[in-house]
Order: sequence, then C-alpha cells, then structure tokens
Amino acid sequence: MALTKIGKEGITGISNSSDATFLTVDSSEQAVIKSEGGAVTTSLQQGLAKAWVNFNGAGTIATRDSLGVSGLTDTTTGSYAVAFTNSFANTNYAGSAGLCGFSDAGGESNSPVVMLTRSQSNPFTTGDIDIITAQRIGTAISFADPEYVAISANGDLA
Amino acid sequence: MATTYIVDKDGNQIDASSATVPSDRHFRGAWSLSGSVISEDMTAAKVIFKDKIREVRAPLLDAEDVVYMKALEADDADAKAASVTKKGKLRDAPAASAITNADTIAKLKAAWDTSVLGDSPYA
Repeated sequence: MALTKIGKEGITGISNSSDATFLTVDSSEQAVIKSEGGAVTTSLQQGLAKAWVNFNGAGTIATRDSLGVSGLTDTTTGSYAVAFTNSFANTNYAGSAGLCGFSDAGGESNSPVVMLTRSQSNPFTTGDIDIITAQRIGTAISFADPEYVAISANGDLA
Repeated sequence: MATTYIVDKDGNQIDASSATVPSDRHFRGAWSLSGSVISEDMTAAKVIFKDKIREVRAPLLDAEDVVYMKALEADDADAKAASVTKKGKLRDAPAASAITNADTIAKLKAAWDTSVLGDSPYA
C-alpha cells in the first residue's frame, strides 16, 4: 500500500501494491473509494450510517448500543424519540427501523408494526426521529412496547 | 451511551436513571411524574383498561353474532337467549363496578373478568 501524493489539494491517491488507487480525498475533504468490483467509485461519507441505536423498548427502556445518538426518550406506550448527537444538514435523510419481541399474547407470531413519524408530511427533523411501534393481533392493531428496536439513519450531516 | 428520558402523560420529562418507575408498562400511558417518582394515574389507567376490554371483546362479539345467527336459523330459543346474554355481558364489561371502584393498579388488573373476556392480558 502506498500513499502517492499529499498536497494542498488533498490526498489524491492511496494505492495498493498494484498501484490501483482505492481511496481519494479531495480538497473539500470528501473521500471517494473504489467499489468492491473496482468498476466504479463511491462516496465514503455518503455511505456511512451517521446514527444508529439498538434499544430495549419494553420494561425499563435501555440502550444496548448506539452511535451518534445522544438521547432516547420513552414518550408513551409504543412511542419513542431518538435524538442525534450531530444534526443532519436537512430532513431529507433516510431513517429506517425494525423491531421484534412483544410480550403480549401471540408474541412474535403476530405482526409487528413500526412507523417513523413526526407528522404526515415529514417524519424527520434534523435533530431526531420519532417512532411509534404497534402490534397487530388478529384484526386489532394497538400500540405496544417491543423488546428489540433498531434504528439507523443515513444522509448528510450538517 | 445515550441518555434515556421518560415522558409522562402530561409531557413532563425526567432522566430515567434518576426516576422511580412502575414495575410494568401495562398502563404506560397513565404514567404521571411527581418529583422523581412516576406512578400510574388511576383515572387514566381505567381509560386504558376499558380500551383494552373493547379491543379484546370486538372479535368475541363478532363470533357471538355468528352463534346467534345459527340459533336464529335453527329457531333455537335457548341458544338465542344464551347468545343475547353473552353479548350483553361483553357490552357491559367496560362498565363493571370493579373497574369503577378500583383504587390501585392491582385491583384494576383483578377487575378483568376472565369468564366474559377470556385470559387477562395483565396476568
């Protein structure tokens, strides 16, 4: 592995033993890396999850592990807010969530429901995501607290 | 590690690490913060309890409609009367005096009538 050039314009190429450049950092500190197949390049910053958290939403709410998350708020049954350590540049980032592990009758054999919500027009703010979780048992859907909730957010930090 | 906060039914917030919280979350929507102690507001808990009854009884009423229709088709007076009685108990379940008179969460949970509604979700 060889660092080929460092100048005021940035690191223009870091290559491997075959002299193939696999990382470039331009003068605006944007890192570009080669794809796995080597055919294209992709932005390193754009590909990173900027925040993620895995928490217990039942019993005593508790974070198992997280990155870029400053706070977790237990709002009410099946309702949580995840605050980011660093705000996003805008509300166009992509948040996603998953859950499992309800304690109510039926448990995991029934359908878990998770929604990212702030309002009907836009579920996100730059500083946090609100989520609600529910469980469908038969034809009834009701808010419920799952044991496992995982959330991640990808996008542009401020 | 991220700090965890708890918000009560009125929007009051506290750091979870410094709060005393109820032992279970069955009546989470009724949590009320006073100082550093969170407890269940009984009025709000009863609303949640009655909503749970309505949720549970809905499919039971649907099933009983089928029972009644079969009794009607068979012109079985006893079966019709039994079905009417059962549907009446289901309809009256949220108005049970045991719910009204409950002054603790334990008594409220005990007010679940398993003979009418089946297994208690609070057991």
